[in-house]
Amino acid sequence: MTPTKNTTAPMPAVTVSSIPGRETSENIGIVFGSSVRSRNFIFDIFAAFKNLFGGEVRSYTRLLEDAQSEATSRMLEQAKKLEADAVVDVHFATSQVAYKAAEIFAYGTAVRLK
Amino acid sequence: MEEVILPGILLTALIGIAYLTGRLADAAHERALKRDEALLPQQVLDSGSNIPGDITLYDSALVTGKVVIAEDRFRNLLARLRIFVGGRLSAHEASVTRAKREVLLRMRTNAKGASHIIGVRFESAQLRRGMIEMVVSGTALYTDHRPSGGAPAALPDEGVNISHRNLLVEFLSASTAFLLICWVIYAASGMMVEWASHEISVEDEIAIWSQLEPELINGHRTADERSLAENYLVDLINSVPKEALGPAAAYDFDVIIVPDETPNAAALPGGLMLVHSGMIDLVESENELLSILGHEIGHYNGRDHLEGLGREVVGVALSAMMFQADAVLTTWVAGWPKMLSDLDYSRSQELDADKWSLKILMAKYGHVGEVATTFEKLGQMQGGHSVMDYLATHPHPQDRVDRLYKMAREQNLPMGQPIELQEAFENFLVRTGEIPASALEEGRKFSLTTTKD
Repeated sequence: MTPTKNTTAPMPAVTVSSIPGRETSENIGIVFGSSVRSRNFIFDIFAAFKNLFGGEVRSYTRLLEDAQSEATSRMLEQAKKLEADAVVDVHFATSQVAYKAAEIFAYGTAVRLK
Repeated sequence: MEEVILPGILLTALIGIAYLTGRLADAAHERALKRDEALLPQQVLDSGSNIPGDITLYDSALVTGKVVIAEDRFRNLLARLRIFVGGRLSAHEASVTRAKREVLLRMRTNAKGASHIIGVRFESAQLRRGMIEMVVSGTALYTDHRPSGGAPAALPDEGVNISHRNLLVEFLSASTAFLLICWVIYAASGMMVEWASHEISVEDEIAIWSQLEPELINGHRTADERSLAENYLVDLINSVPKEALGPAAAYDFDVIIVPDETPNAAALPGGLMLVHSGMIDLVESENELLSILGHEIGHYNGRDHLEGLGREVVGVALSAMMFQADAVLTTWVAGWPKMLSDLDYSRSQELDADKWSLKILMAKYGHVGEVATTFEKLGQMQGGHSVMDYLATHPHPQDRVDRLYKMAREQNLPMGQPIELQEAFENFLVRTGEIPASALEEGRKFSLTTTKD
C-alpha cells in the first residue's frame, strides 16, 4: 500500500480498532485535532429565545458540525504529516473553554496499513 | 470625560500587562513542553484497546495526566469580543492544544517504564470560567519491549491545530467588528429612542415621573424642603410669563443645587433641574442665570432630556448584555453611552435650546442683555481643568456666543442692563419674608451658594 501522503484521496478514519478488511502493520501514535468556535451574538440571542420554547437550536448544531469537521480534518492532516495510512479508534470529546463557545476535539491512533 | 478616560487608561494598562505576561507564560510553556517531550521514551500510544500480540506482558496499570491552565485577561477579553462577533477563537486553540500536550506528557511521565499506553481517553472538566482543564487516562503496559529513547514519532503537531494569527491582529480585527456592530445597534436604538421621546407628551412624562421621583432625588436632598437659593431659582422660573415657556409650561419645575464646582446644569424628566454650585458661582447677574435655566427649559421643549436618558438606558443595557460577567468592563463601558449621549445632545439640540434662552429672557426682562455672558466666561476658561466636562459635551462656547448675538441681531432684540444676582437674591429674601429688610441695611451678606438650610 502506498502512503496517502501527497494524494488528495481522504484518509480513512474509523471509530473501531482497524479499518474493516485491512490489516494494521504499525501503530504510529495518537493524533488529534481541535477546533474552538463561537456563533455571533445574533445567533446567541435566537438561541436564548429557543431556550424558552424548546426544540433544536439549528445555529448551534451548525456550529458543532463545523467544529467537528474542522477538528477531524486537522487530525487527519496531522496523521498525513506522520505518513500514516489511516486513523483508527477515533473518539470525539467536547469541552466548554469559554461561555457560548464550543471546543470539539477529535483524537485517534494513526496507523500504517499492510 | 474623566470617568471614562482614567479607568480606560488603567484598564488598557492592565490588559497590556496581561498580554505580556500571558505571552511570556505561553512561550515558557511551549519551551518546557518541547524540552520534556524530547526526553520521554518512545512509547506507543493507542486510543483503542488492542493489546499488541507480539509482546510478553509483565504488568499493566492505570495512568493519568491532568492540567488546569488559566487564561490571561487579554485572551479573555479577546475571546469575549470574538464570541460576540462570531468565528474561530484562535487564541484558545493554542492553549487547548498545549493543554493536551501537557496532559499527554504528564501521563507518559507517570508511565515511564511502560512501552505501550492503550485505551487513551481525553476528558475535559469545567472548574470555572477562564480556565482550561484537561484530563487524560490510559492503561500502561509493562512489557519485554523496551521503548527506545528520543523524541517519540507521533507528537501532536501544534502547527496543524492553530490558526496562525498574531493575537494583536486578531484583537484589532475582532474589536473593530465589535465596535462597528455596537455602533449600528446604538444608532438604531438611538433612532427608536428619539421617536419614542417625542411620542411621550409632557403630561405623560409628569404622570410617570411623579411615581418615581421621591426615590430618585432622595440622594440629593435630605428633607423635602428646598434651600433658600433653590427656592429663589424656582421662583425665578415661575416669574417668567407662562406663554414664553412653550410646552414646558406644564411642568411644576423644581431645582436642586448640586455641590459641584464644574459649571454645569442638567434637565431631568418631570421638570427637575440640577444646577451645579459652580455654575451659580460663575454667573453674576440674574439675566445670566435665567439664560442658563432657559436653555434647560429649551431641552424640555425639545424632549432632549428624555432622549438623553433613553440613550443612556439603551447603552447600559447593551453593555450589560455583552459584558455581563465582567464587572470592571461593564462599569467602564457604562461610562461610554453617557458620554456619547451627551455628545449627541450637544451639536444640534444645544443650539436649539439656546433659542429658548433668548425667548425666555425677552419675555421676562424685555431685553436679552447678558444672554451669552456665561458662555463668554466659559470660553475664556477653556483649558482649565474644571470646565473640561462642559466644553467636551457642548459646542464651543464662543460659537454659541456668536450665534446667540447673531440671532438677537436678526430678530432686533434689545440689549438692556442686567440685574445683579446678589441684589436680586436679597430682594427675593426680603420679598418672601425670609429676612427683614433691615438686615440688608445692617450690611449682612447672603450668598447664594452658602445659604443652605
